[in-house]
Amino acid sequence: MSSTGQPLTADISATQTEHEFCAQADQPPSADGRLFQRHIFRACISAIVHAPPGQTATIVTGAGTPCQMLTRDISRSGLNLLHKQQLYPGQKIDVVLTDGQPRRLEVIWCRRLGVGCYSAGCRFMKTT
Amino acid sequence: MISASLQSQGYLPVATATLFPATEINCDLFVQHNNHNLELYRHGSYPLTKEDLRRLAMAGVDHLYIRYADAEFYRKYLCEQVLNETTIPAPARMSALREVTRVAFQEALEGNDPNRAVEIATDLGRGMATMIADQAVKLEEVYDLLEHDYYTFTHVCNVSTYCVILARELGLGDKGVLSQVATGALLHDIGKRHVPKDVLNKKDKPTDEEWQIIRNHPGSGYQELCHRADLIWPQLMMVYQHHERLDGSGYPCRAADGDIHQWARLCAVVDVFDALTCSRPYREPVPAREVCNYLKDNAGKWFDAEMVTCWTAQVERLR
Repeated sequence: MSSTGQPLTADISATQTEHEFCAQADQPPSADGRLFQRHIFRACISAIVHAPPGQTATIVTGAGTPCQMLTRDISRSGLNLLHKQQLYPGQKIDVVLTDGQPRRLEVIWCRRLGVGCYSAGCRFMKTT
Repeated sequence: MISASLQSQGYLPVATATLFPATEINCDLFVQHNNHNLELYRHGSYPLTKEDLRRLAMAGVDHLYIRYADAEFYRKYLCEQVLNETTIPAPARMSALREVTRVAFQEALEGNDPNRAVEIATDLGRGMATMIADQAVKLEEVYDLLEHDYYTFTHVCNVSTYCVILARELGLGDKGVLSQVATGALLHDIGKRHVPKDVLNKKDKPTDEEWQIIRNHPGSGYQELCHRADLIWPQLMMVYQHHERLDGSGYPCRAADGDIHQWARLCAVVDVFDALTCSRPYREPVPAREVCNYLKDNAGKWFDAEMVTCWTAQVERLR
């Protein structure tokens, strides 16, 4: 919620890239203690989920193969997304957002929402 | 009779049943006289003789003492010379190994040395699996030997013992697999060292904020261990998922049914069993049979029904 009590929804136009969106979203720390404000961001994105740390790719179903994921919200530091399988802290996910730029995410937490539906909080990793 | 006050003064009891004549332990042995102070019984470089052990037995002495600082020498001696010695009853060997491992494990945790903790857990897991798998040790043989207070090492050691017995009864694998189960179980609560002691030992109900800290321990334990090459995925899942419940009501992920690893389900059953049968500062231990009823009531809902059936059948054989 904003300081005026209005829901903070993403005002993202069809022509606006995530770079522009994130640049505009440079908000002060939010009331829930987060460093950056979250903004609703609903999209279907391409992703490659890597095997979780401690696991080999062959054991995790679908690890390393392209898949589709739904995003829920975004901030300057991370992304919340939905996936059909459980994800693990430290697991890496390569995503391509609607601007076509590849980004690497690291899973921080994961919660099951329902049958075959997991929500994961991820942070953007610095790319070299 | 083992003196608790001597333990608090820095001495560790060692069962005379684990001492062999003509074998150097490399640490001084002390004996307690008339329930008072300790006296040096034998210098570390002088091995015990058969006659020494006979006299001790005649005098009713079943424990000598070593310094805490020498615990590692005794632990090595146990691992190298005693664990495979079938003339010593397996429960006595297990008890000795656990007692001496406690010191090293706690030092590793307090010294923030997870490498050492994993190394010790691997050694202890191997020893425990060897005894339980090779010599068909039953729950009723070890249950009375286990301590039933809820201190972290006691708890993880009990859980490890129970996990190996349950895994063996379920036919989960050979001795090598049981050893990995034991090690995973010893490490399952390693994330708790990041939880402040006053929160862990709190008598009152934890606040929401404290609950959040407690609920983080499976995740922090997993993250601490997940990059190690000497641990396997099922062991990591024992650490990460042992508080998950089949109906999705557990933590940290609320994973359900098939998304909870078999070894984590195993750990969950005996973890709850030990937590309830141990005494806490704020409550008496719950009798094992009542805990079995609790597990049965929640079989299929929270806990794996087959595992509960198998475990409660073991427990119901206790006198």
